[in-house]
Amino acid sequence: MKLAVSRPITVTLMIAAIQSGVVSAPTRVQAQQQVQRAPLAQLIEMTGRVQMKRENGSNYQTAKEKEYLYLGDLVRVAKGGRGVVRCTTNSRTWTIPDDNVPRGVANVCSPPS
Amino acid sequence: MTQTKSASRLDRAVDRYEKAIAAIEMADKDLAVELVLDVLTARNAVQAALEDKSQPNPGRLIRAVKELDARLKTQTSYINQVTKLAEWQAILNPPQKEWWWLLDPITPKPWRDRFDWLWRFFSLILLTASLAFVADISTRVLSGGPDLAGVFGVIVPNVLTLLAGQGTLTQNGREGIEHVLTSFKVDKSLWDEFICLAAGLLLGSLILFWFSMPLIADKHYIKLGDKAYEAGQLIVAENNYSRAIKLNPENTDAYYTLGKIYQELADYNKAIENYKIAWKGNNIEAADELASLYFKRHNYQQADEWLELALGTAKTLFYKGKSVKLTPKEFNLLSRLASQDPQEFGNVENLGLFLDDRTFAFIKNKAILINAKQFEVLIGLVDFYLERKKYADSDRRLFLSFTLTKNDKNKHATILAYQGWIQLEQARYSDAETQLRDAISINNKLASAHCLLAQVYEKQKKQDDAKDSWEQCLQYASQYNENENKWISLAIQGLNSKGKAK
Repeated sequence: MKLAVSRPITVTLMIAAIQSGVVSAPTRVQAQQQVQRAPLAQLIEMTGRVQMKRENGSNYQTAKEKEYLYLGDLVRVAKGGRGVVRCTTNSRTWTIPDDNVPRGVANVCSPPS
Repeated sequence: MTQTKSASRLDRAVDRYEKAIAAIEMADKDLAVELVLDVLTARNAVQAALEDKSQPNPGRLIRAVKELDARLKTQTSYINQVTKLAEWQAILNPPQKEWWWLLDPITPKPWRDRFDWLWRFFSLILLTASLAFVADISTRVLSGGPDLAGVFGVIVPNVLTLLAGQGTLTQNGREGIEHVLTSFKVDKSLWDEFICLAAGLLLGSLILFWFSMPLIADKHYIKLGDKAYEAGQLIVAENNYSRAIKLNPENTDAYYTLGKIYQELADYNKAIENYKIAWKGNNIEAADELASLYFKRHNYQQADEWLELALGTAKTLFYKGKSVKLTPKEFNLLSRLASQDPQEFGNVENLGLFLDDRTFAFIKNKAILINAKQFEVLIGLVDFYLERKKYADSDRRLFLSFTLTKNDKNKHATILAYQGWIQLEQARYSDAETQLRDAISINNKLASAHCLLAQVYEKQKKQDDAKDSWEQCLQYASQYNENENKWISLAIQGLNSKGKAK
């Protein structure tokens, strides 16, 4: 025999479950998304040919100075160029080698988990 | 000549004594104080003559003295009616041997006094029990070093028990108690009963104190410990928690917190010791801490065993053809939720739980079955086994965790990626490719899956796919992760060797 749960009990169960960590509260998910979208770094200096590819982009495009870089973004610097990024978490500066091989912003600027 | 003189002296003394007694006997109700004093001083003279060692005392006179003493004793009640001998004793201060000055009125002994031996026996039993309690209380209260409350808690029962013991068991103590009872005008016939009652009250208060020790531990020492712990005063917190545990050894949560304190103090052996006690007391988190602690101390076998305990006791719920694995923590939560109104829930087969479809589905799809600490140890162990090419051990861990991670897509994707890694190591490239693609389909930001998939493609000579995967590897890999750091180097090499990315 199937019995329906009364509304107050369901609400109580939900509250208890949320308090006990059984479910992730929506606010936590939103907060995580916000953290993920926070910039990891900023391109603070560039000379020569510096290109970047956004996380969901299909092609490399010429980067702009002062541009913010996010998780999943790639940056490459052609021979003779210079690109320097500064990580937002610890202000570390990172000069990307001019070998035209892409580097992920997360490689250096993603904080240790 | 001397002999005759001495005999005459005793003769005269006995004669005087006899006459004085006769006078008392004759006086009957008109007995005067002077007559009483006459007879008592006459007895003094008899004693002085008897003690005169210069000549032997004739037997007839000694016998006469004995008979006269007996006659005197029969007059005791009359004498005590006329005068209080105690007052004369205070003036003359006769020695104890001069019993005639100490004649007490002959009063019938109260019936209660016939049981005095029984009261004394009970007092002894109660005091012995009190001593046992005092010993236990002292040991537990003072074990963590004395503090003000602890010292007070020990001194009071100790002093009371010692006083009671001394009063019952020693002459001096008994005199002291008698003095107290006399000053409180307690009837002498009730003294033994009073002493027994006092011993009973003492034991009662000790028992009360003994039973209240857990309450004192929780309300006082645990609170102090928590406050100190929050303030970062670990030594103070440790002292208070240690004391709380001595007072209430049943509080297994306190062992858990003490374990955490020791861990923060880098006293790992003590931390482990306390976590194990907490675990025995059904503190499930203690197993997580033990697994994590053993892992950090590179004791991988113990870490594995404790992780097994933390996860392995997971329970499976079967309900209308559906199944879900629950850790003991989740199981307990489920029971708690379900017990709120059992009348309104259906029965879950095999476990006797009461759940409706919606609640069951809710828990099945949302319950966290492996926590962050357990997962960290699990992945660490899998890494450890992989590094040593113990693929069976890695697989065993991953297999057990597969169900537990089903409600957490990031963790689940990580498990799939690790399974793909093992297959890559075993040169099962097609299997690895499928597994890693599955992982990426669940979490496309998972660096490890992209990095491993790139290596699979390289093995399969799929250069273009490999290049794309290396790029995706670089998108999400962090040099602060040991494995990813290695893969970043491989990715750069891979992309460099392919004549630069487009």
